[in-house]
Amino acid sequence: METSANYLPRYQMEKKPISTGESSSRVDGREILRARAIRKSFGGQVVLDGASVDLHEGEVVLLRGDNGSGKTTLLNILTGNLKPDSGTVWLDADGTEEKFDFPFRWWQTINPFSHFSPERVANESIGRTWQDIRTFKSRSVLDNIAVATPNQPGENPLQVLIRNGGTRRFEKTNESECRELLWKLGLKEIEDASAERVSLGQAKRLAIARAVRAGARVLFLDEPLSGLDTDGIDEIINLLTALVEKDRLTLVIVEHVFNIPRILRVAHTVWTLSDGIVQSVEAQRILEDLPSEFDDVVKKLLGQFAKPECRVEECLLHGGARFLRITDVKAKPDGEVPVLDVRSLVIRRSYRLVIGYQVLDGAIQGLSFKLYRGDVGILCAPNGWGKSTLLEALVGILPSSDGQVFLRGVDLHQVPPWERVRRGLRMLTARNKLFPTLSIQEYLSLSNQPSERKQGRLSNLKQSIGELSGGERQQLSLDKLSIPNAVTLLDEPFLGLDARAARHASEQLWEATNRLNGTLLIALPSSPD
Amino acid sequence: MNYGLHLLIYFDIYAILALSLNLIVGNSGLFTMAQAAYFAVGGYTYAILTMNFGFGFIPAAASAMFVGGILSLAVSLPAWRFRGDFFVLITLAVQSLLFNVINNWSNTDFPPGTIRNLTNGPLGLAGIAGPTIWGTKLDTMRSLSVLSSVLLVICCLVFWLLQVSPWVRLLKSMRDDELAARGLGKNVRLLKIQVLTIGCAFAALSGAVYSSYVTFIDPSIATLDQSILLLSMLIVGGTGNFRGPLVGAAVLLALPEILRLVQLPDWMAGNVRLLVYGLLLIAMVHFRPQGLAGEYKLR
Repeated sequence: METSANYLPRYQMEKKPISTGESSSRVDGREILRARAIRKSFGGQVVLDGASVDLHEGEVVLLRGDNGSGKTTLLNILTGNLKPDSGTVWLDADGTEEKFDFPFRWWQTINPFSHFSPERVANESIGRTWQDIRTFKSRSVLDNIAVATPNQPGENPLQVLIRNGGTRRFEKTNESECRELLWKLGLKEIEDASAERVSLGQAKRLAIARAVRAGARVLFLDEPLSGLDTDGIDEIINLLTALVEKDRLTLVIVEHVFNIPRILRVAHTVWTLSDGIVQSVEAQRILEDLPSEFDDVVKKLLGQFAKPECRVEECLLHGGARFLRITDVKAKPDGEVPVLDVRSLVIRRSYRLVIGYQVLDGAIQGLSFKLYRGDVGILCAPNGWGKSTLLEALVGILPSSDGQVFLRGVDLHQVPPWERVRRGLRMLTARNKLFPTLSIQEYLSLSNQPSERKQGRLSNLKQSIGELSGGERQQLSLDKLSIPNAVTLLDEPFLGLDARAARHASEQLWEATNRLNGTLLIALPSSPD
Repeated sequence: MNYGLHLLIYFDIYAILALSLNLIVGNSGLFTMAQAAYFAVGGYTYAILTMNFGFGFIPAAASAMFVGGILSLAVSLPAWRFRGDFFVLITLAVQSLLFNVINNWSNTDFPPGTIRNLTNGPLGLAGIAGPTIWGTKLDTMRSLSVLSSVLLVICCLVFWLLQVSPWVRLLKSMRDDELAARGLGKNVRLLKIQVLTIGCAFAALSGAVYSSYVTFIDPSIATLDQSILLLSMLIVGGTGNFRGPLVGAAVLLALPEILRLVQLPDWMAGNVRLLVYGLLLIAMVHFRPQGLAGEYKLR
């Protein structure tokens, strides 16, 4: 416990770990899910090779593994979103045991009431959340929750037309219960807002609440903490803790390196996926040998840049964001033109002010900063601050409403994005914005990169990007750093990477600034230090 | 006077049709291009039942709705598997299939409306009886317009009740993210069957009113052009809410009448009308993609 304290400065002070002495060992609840010898391969690539897991009532499981080890695949199989090639799944979350044997016989495959589907598994009280959240975006926050309630009489159009008292009463109680739930989650003030407009942290809480409202007793969470700032992480952890302690929910959490220590505080068991099989270990044991395994890569990265000849300038921005500029003092001749010079930039999306803030007399103050050759700018801002919007406006994908951007002294006003890229300003696309139908080879030639130096699964150039896991896509995107003399904008470059890949990524960043004369602007969610 | 009533009846018919299409396209996001075919199915069912079996308006219209609802399975079952563009292609195929059945189920050796000559092919069915309700024959323009307006009001009530119900909330959730809705344990297959059955049944009702008013029906009302006209009503008026289709139907029906007032020469009028439609659609999509009265938050 003590050894991991430095990873969790705030959380530990507020909350006691719930894994107390007796429950930290295996939970003795009823077995509610069992999977045996699950195999799954995609296009000849074996992802799961006989994985077996057991899940007990009230257990909290952390599912971890390297990039591309099949975490999401396993989760998709256990929640009915994907059929395994072979194996057996038993589900017993609601007291009636169901057994699914794979592969299906031919008559099962043509069954229109296919008996292994997401809705079938969900009706067994097994819910899930997605990496990309999937709230119902055109609906209000309240509707998102209210729609999840199971067995609503109002979901039958005939009942609606008859409009008897029972239906109306059900609607009323449903609505008031949902309002209460939102109030408990601290989402009260946004209940009528469109789900599209809420922040990432709120959307993630909403997705969890929605699954619980749908009657889930077992909840599979795919990266519930990724991309969140410290406050957002605390809120999710508190919510999960409450669900486990008060409602005795069973959780299976997929998470990446950076957030694993936080999840371990609440987890009983750790499933480690490697080479297609699952090893199940008590969380206590993992916690003991944590420090050697998990380096705080971001801090290490900062340490790498903070050499004696480097100077770090820090300035506070509006909305709790910070901007750090790490600059090499020696290498700079006087009067050098900044590579990237942003002057009082203001960005609006529809009517909302995203970048820039209103000062007392009503005037709008824009954002300004300068980066010189070899500099690294790090923008630490909470979720919803507008980091991605800022980067997209700098490369010209989004229009900015006011202010100027200079690239090597040239005004970029009205310069289209492709021209900006030609002049050496590029943004590394986030993992969900790569082209899913292109093969790796096609992607590399599209972005003018050599195709020799790829390793691991990425060396199979014929593979399409859509088949790669989230972390692998991120790696692929980061490889664009090898182009010299560029100004590169990175949006959360460490998202979804495992420890090794993250270390590799930080080396790439280091090389990009020091050997290749590049300039970096990195956007990160704000962390405690 | 009669001209005004004529316009009112046409508005009633197309408003019901646009509302039924809006239920499907606006709420569930299933972009169907087969709606005109279901309109025609309703019209033909009504025509055949009244001509050959002496049905009154109410049983004939109810049967038309029933037939339309059953035939909607041709669209809703493929919707289980096909989404987006592929679903549009499937509905095009269904539209073309139904049109060809209507256009070719004829044999001039037999009287129209019998099983060998069900639709009388491209000649269409003439001399359809006007509506008879409880033995009373409605044959004046005034009574016909009252009937169609009452039907429109009833349909408005039905669609409004549906529009504010948890059922439509669920439909819209499915439109936003089908996988997430399934992950909450919702039966989206049943939902698709329900929405298409109701939508197609009301399109068939509108077809029954049409054939009872015009007393003549031919395959030209089942063409793709008709389906596209209906979709244009939704694009102009707006989807996903209650007012949009009504506004869209009114605008697109008023347009040719306004052009008639300008008194263009005949050879020009048709082309100008298409030109104005085209410009109107482009302008709408560009300046007001949510339609004149659409749900603002939708996009």
